[in-house]
Amino acid sequence: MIHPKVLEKVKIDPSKYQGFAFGTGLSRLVTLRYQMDDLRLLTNPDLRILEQF
Amino acid sequence: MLAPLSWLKEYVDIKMSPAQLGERLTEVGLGCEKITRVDGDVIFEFEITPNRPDLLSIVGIAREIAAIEKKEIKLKIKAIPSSSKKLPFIIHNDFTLIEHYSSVVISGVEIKDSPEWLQKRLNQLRLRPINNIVDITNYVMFELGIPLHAFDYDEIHGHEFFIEKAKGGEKFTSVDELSYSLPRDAIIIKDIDRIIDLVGIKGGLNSGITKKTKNILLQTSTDNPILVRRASQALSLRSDASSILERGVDKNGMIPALARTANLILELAGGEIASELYDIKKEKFEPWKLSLRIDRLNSILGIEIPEKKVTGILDSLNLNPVIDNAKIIECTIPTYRNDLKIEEDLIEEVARLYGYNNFPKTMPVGEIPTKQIPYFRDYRIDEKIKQILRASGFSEIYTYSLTAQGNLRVDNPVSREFEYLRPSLKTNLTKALLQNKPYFKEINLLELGKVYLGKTIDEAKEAYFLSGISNAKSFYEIKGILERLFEELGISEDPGKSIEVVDEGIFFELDFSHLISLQKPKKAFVPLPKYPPITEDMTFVVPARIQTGELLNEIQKQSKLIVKVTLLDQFEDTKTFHIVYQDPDKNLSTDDISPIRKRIFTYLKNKFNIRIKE
Repeated sequence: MIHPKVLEKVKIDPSKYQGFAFGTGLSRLVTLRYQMDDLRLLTNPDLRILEQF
Repeated sequence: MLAPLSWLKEYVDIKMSPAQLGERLTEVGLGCEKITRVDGDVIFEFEITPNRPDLLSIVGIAREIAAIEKKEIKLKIKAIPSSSKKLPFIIHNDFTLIEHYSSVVISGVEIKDSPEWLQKRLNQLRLRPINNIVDITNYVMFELGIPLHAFDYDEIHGHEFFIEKAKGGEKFTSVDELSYSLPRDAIIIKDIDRIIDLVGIKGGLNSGITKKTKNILLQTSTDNPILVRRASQALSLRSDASSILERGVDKNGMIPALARTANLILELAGGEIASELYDIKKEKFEPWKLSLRIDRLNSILGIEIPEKKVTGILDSLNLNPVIDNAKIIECTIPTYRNDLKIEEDLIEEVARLYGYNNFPKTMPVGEIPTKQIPYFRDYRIDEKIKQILRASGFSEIYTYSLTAQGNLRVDNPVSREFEYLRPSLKTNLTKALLQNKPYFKEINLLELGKVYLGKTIDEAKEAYFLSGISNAKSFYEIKGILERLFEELGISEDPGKSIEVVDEGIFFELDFSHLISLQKPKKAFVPLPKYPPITEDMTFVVPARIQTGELLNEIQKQSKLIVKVTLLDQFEDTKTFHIVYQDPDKNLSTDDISPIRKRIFTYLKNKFNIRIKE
């Protein structure tokens, strides 16, 4: 849920509108797809990782 | 936050498999990042959001599990035994700094190693066991989420505490023997002549527990979260205690945590309670009321959850829901849930436990915005360029934007290694090459990333740079690749000046944002010539200092009829150029060509002192 105060700040009436914030990073999906156990491997410049793709 | 399964099971029955449990907790918002099996136990690694300090404890996580499983928490804490022994102790509190202070003196303890079960627990949390007293305070902090500290009672000069704000610049040595210069407004405890505690962050060396300690003062307090956070940031010093306190600790958790710790100390280190229980606060910390309108819940979530289900969820979270006729649920929020302040917070609690996966899937309605957004970026160009470099043998990497050196310093660096915004991609690419060196002979790395230019924040500018490093390709090979790339973008510049010979090989760095701006808009078709070209080759003796590129340009400039000049061959000081003449409107004859040829000879002779090879 987006805090009603945040909506007020951007001049949206929180009694009329509400916000829902969610999301998952693309990297998270990539780790699932390739069965990697650590997200940080994706930003590791080790060629032994990069050359697998 | 690490949590061993066997420890969680001490407070709640768990039937699910570790994988199922990790998944369920992730679904309700307690992200499970890793599950490892160590010595017959299972260790969960959770990501705790800043609004949930209560989850920085085993019991807190057990409560979430209990809410999912609709079970009760098993936690019994004995009160502190009362005592007739009264060792002197005086506390001068400032309630703006410490809202709730509690402590008790224990005399005659025996300092030794902790029993094996306790050491094992600390090891599982990757903490180093020190001695029984310190270990017990750490154990209870992670068990209940309440930081505690034990002082050597006999090292408190005058047996008197003054709680104050630091003036700034005071020297302080922490229990782990590191020296700090205190920032202004850090909360400190002084005895009658020295600073003995940096409140909420670390204890002082001068009053810490040693092998000789006989009597201790055991303390826990609700410290001003803003001041703890500021001091911790100013010192770049975070402790397990400060990360709980800066988020707001349970004000009603002090006395139970103190009791739990004191009882464990009596059991494992001996001794006896030797003072009254100091429980110093201005007011009682009461649970607060929060109401939830069912129709508001339904309108916000967009689905109708049966009332019974709603109250069931709220009840499982110990929020004590009571429903009235007007369909308003009144909850009583326990003090450990200080993240629940407004109606929307309760709606979120219902939604996450109901399960986001149980919401029906619907397509978004309304118009799809088609207007180009101001920060639009055409990634197709990036892709095209990366493709060319990849085909040339480069591997793409992503590195951090923060480095150890630069001009633009960030306000709160996480460490010295990540203190500045990078002005170039060179440092990280070089590091990456070195990292790969033990395993690979030929390394070609590229990065397209943001850099931060300018010496001061006022003139700071962000730009994309395209850089690469190679220990396998020659200067000329790299130049060839970049020329190909420029050609693709329709840029007529010499990439040579962006290439540098470095210790590790060849490095290049292009201002990508600038390159894109030079790009030729769109390619347009040029009709094929109707009349045939005339070609001829000319061989010159060229002094070594003259660059071929310059000659090609100069030759072409001599006539509009010259459509193409290339270097055909070179040997020692001679270069052979291949020249193509063409007129779009007629057939060329030797008569048309010979004046141009003459002009080339004269021009090259006068300008460069180049003569035709006889």
